[in-house]
Amino acid sequence: MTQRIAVVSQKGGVGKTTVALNLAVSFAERGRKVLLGDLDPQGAVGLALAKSDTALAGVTEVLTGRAPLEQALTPTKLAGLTLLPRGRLDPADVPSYEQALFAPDVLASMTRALEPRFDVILFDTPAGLGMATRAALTCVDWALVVTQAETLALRSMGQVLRAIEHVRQQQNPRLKVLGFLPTFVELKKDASRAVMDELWTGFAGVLDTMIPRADVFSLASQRGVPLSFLGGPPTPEARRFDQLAAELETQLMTGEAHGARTERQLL
Amino acid sequence: MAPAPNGSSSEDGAVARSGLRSVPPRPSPERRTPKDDLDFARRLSRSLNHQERAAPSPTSATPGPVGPFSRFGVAPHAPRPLGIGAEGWRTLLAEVVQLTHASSAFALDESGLLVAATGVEKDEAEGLGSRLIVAFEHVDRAVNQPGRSITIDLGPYSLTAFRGGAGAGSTFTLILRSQSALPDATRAAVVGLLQPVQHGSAK
Repeated sequence: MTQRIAVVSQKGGVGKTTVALNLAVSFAERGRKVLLGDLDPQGAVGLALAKSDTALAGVTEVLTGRAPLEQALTPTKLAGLTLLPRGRLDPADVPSYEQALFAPDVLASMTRALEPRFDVILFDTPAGLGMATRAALTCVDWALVVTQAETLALRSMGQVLRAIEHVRQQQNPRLKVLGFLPTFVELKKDASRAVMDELWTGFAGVLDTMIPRADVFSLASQRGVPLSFLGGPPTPEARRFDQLAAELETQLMTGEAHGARTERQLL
Repeated sequence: MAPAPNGSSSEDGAVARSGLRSVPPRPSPERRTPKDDLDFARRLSRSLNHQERAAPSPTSATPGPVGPFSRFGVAPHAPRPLGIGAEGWRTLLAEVVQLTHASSAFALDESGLLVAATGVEKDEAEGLGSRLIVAFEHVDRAVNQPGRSITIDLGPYSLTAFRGGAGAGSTFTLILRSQSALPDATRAAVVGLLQPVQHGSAK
């Protein structure tokens, strides 16, 4: 059964695209067939891969009828990973793009058409709770909430949770929170640790995996590759995404929550 | 950009194309403080977690997950009465202190709120206690089973945290500060003292 995940956050710059891209790679490296869809009008996934803004066809072409969905997909050099880029979008058309994406059943029908081919569909969304993010939340099973380990992000958590609650109540009762993923974590700094303490003690669903602040992310962006594609030995940060994929896979594929495992017998 | 698939080309259709409808805005929420916002977010995270854990498997004929994809996460944090009452806790802490010669002892519910304390201020107890609860949870996950107690040797003193059931599925954490780590027999005796909390029998 295809698992559909939206990677969301209220604030920008928290690492959503980095998480979506590297998590998609990790799932694919673990043998899953993965589609990474870029719903961000900014085309952040393409930018992260150092592609020209007009290099790849994608969602835009499908929305405007210029290309069928099949031609909007971009295979990658990682066998299990396919991209559905944003497409060639003039910044002047961003409002129309978001409205078209938000129209009833538009994204849902695209997703249904893609499901038979993929184990996991991951949508990268723009920051905030606008139409593109709402469209994604309406047709996925899970929301992975990325939150930077800093005070302002913590203060805005209520907003994204309220949006998830609203979509769940009004449009998509299957929507669940997959977890809260802290990013830019610096436990040696008081402010970051204080936010982490608050998350760990005050919130339900904070993931074990946390993504530290690290220079290697800038390096990967410069090179236009995911972390695990950088040369040399695997970086600790790349292993974090392996850890994240394993942690999420346990929930997605077995249905067992960390805190609710029941005792089993081996023999 | 060409019009969206379900748009019209007329000017009159511009508003319809835009997807904007004249709906009255929702009433503004009451003015809240940042602390209120954080409390709201905490409650919502637990509420969504609780709803997800309680939700039955979907039965719709349309394609979709068939579950049960139960939620990852800690148990709901809503404070609950903890079995033996305030007087019961005072008596229990006194017995534990006498048994262990601890300089302070305090109990927290599963959301890190102080239930009872002796020899320590509330703020210190809650601050320290909430971090030890997190440490306890991390150890549980590291060893893939719930632990009964953990001890942290800080040199000049030791902290020992015991976890116990408080009935109705809730838990509590009892934390002791002592000059040295507790011997095994003493730890076992403390565990024994905590049993009545599970069954709500006050002493």
